[in-house]
Amino acid sequence: MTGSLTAKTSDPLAVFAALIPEALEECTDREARLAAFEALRECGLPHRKVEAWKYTDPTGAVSGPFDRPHHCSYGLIAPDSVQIGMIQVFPNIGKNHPFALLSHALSHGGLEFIVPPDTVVDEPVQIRLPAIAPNSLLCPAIKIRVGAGSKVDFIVRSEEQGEGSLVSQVTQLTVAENANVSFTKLRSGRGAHFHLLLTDQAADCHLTLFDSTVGGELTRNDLHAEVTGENAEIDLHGLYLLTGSDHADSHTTVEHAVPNTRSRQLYKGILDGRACGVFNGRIVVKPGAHGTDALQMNRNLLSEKAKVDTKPQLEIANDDVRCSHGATIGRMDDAQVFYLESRGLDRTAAEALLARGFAGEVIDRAPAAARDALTKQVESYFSKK
Amino acid sequence: MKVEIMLKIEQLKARVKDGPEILKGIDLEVNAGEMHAVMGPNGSGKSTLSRVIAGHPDYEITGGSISLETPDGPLDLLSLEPHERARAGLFLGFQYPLEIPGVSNRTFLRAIFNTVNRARGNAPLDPMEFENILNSKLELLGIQREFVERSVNVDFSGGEKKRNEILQMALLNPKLALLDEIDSGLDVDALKAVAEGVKTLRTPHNAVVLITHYQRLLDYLLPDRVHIMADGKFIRSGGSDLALEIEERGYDWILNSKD
Repeated sequence: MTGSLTAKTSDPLAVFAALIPEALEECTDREARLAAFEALRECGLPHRKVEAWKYTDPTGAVSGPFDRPHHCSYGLIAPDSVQIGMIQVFPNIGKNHPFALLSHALSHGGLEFIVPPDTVVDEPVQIRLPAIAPNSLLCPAIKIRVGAGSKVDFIVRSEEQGEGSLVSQVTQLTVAENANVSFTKLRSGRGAHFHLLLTDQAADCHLTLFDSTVGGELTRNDLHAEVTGENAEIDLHGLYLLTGSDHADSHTTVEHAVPNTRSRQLYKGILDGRACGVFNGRIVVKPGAHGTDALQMNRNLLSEKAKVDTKPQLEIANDDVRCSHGATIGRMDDAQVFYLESRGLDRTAAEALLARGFAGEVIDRAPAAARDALTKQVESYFSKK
Repeated sequence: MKVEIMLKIEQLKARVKDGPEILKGIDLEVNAGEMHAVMGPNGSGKSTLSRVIAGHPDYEITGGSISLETPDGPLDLLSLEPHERARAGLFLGFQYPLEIPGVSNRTFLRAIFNTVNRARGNAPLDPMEFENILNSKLELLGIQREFVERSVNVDFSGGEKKRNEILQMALLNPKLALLDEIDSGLDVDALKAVAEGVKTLRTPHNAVVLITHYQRLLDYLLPDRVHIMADGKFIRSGGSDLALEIEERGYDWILNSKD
């Protein structure tokens, strides 16, 4: 009993507070970091009783203690036409996202990319997050600004992460008029991984976001897309492939703020073992945003003991909009399995082929520039099965 | 000349699991090189027969035996899983072929070809060799190349689905093909194309069992033997003229005269 009493009275932020002094060394935004940590103290670390975290309890993942490496180096492949620098001002993430605040307070700095107007970047910009040792903490940040009329693809890989580690990432993506941008994130490895992705879009631009999660003890992707320019389009797609006791949670919010914008969402999950998936898709249509066209779909293929919580949220303050959503949770279809068995495939091979096909629908929507990397990542899941 | 028995069914009885008996004692012998037709009104048990032979998990065998001839002698099919039956040389053409979204027909065809080929002790083929075989089958059956780029049976017309069944049959080269209502839902041109495909694939070393409600398929494919099925049994067997008689007089005259 003494143990539980100690746990109740102890400060859950103590493990992070202990890391603050070293995070403040050599940093240029001391005050802002301290303010972020203060804001985190006010809102507290999330737990199941907070609505947005009802199905994902991060308590175990943040109990630490963590090592915080002093330096971190990103792997980077980028064409010359993209300007790259260190982040000067941390992304403006508001005051209510606990992991983004944590990320700011303990930031490892980050990379800023600027694509000048009217620039077509032929090769994708590839960013590899540093490898994270077991029980370590990493707070990376990425800021991207794409100029009007430009075209560019980004691929972010977070592939080497040890047991018990914690990554809290923030990405901010700003897209100007008429630009065509894709951003793909590939997450594999172990540990816990939190990512807040904020996007905003000017008129007539097209943005494709793709989130792929293969394994991981805990993954939480918060995606907040503001569609603030007329005729802007956004595709947000995701794939989560889980086994064992993996847990992955995708929380998306798309805000249609102006007339005649379009969003398309397809998230698909394959969950084996006792894995757990969460999809919470919120579509907000602001007053005056007539002509909004928003579709959302979440599909899941589950083994017997796996679990999915899926929830759409539509908040529509307008007539003259087209919004639809749907969700499916299903097991392997016995009729399809028998069809394949009658052609000579054993049950395991039949199910693997069906699962690949299930994932295929969303892989087909991935940005062309990221297709090869994504296919490799997905194969790593299926070849282990 | 020695007659080789391809398929031998004796006193086969089966039911839907925990349901009533549907097959009530079927006897059938199909020799190499032969084509048989099983005809009967709806609900007579024709499709159940084909599914039971292929090992569909919804059914329970309550009596009898099924054996398939193989190079190693007759094989007791009832002791085998569905995929083992396929590898041994059985093929079931589905009345309603399943759609497999997200899997290209090429990927699917290569997977089943390689699996069955390997199980039969042949060396695996590299992708180019497979492509050559696939092309030769497409040409043989007069099927467009774009057919293999699409997802398996997804957005296929009824005729295309049935032709895809015949394409799979051509690749898997079965000893015994059971074609369940391969003629249903087809217009005349599609029916002709499917019938031509079946004809093309016949050899003295394999056998075909057509399961059909209507005689019209038999205008294009002349069976050696026709079996009329009613209430889970074969009530009459004869030559191809039996099918013509059904066409003229319907099933009633047999059903009514069976006692």
